[in-house]
Amino acid sequence: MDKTARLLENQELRVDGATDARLVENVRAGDPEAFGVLVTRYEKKLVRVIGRLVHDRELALDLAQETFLRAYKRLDQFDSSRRFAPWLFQIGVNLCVDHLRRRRRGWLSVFTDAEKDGKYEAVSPDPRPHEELSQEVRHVLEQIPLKYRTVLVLRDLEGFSCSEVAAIAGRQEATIRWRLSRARDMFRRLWLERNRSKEVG
Amino acid sequence: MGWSCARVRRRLPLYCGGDLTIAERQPLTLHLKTCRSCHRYHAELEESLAALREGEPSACVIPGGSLWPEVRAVVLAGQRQAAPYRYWRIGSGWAAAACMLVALTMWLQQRGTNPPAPAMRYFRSDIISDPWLSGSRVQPVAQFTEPERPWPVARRKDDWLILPLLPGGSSPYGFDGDLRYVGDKGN
Repeated sequence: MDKTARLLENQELRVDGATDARLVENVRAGDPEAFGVLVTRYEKKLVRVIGRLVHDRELALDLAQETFLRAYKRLDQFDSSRRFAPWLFQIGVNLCVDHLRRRRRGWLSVFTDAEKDGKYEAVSPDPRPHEELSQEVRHVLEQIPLKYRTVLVLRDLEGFSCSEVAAIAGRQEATIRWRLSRARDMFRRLWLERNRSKEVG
Repeated sequence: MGWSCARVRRRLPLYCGGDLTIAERQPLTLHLKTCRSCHRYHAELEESLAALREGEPSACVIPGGSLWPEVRAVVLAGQRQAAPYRYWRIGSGWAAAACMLVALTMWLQQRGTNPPAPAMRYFRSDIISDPWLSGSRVQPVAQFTEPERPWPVARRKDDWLILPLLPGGSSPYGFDGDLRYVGDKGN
């Protein structure tokens, strides 16, 4: 029994250390558990990215789950010569964009919902100042158009390279660099305006 | 020749984020040393980017630790449903074929035992040639040999007279009138 458990453990370790492409091949060969490794590998980052776009924790979890399910269903369409993560995040970001476009009428409600229950556990010794800053940053981010905000979140908050962001967004790298430049400038302008209004108030 | 401020400012957001090559950074670095306005713009960009990175929480908590149990349940449920669905499709095909066979048998039986229902043809009274019946005066234009028959009789211009016909096309009810066949109703 111990031997079997050890074998299973070793197998799990081997699977955990496997490349994304290998895991995808395993899933395609009929091993759904290999997809579990991919899920655990990317779920936190995916939930974080989606959460930063929708600013609603429960919704982010739902959309992340839907992203993994869609990825599983479309795994046959995945080109193994490409990287798995941008492909997965492309599905997730597209889901977010579709969702946000559908409920565009209520950006304000999204914000208030997020204020009610959409708080991520921030790693901070004293959460109060961080929460305040977080709310301000969130409010400024809300004002940036979605296509610029997406690039800003992926590049500056998640650390994807420009080429990876281009793969996720399905655009040319030059387009992404231009959008990134615009997005940072927009954020600067809005951040300054907010600071000035606070000073005046 | 140095770069213009506008050209520098277009690239400064990428400069701040480290998205330029060393060669691309060099002219901007030189410009920032000499231009106070662009230097201030650069400082504002750095400040706002720092706020962005600091302000957005970097950690998140997933209830239950992972999404995989829920995803796994849906994936496995989908796999379990897939096989019965195939069988259900095969079974439904056979059931549809059996139903069609039963319906065909019943139709053939009915055809062999029951006389065919009389076809209905539509006639319209033609009273144009009869001055006595002109206008909208209510007058019979057809006299049946069996007048007690309940079939409707055209009584004025543009009324429809409905007669049952035998398969050969003749009517079992003779009539004496000036009628004109105009085809199916609505033609």
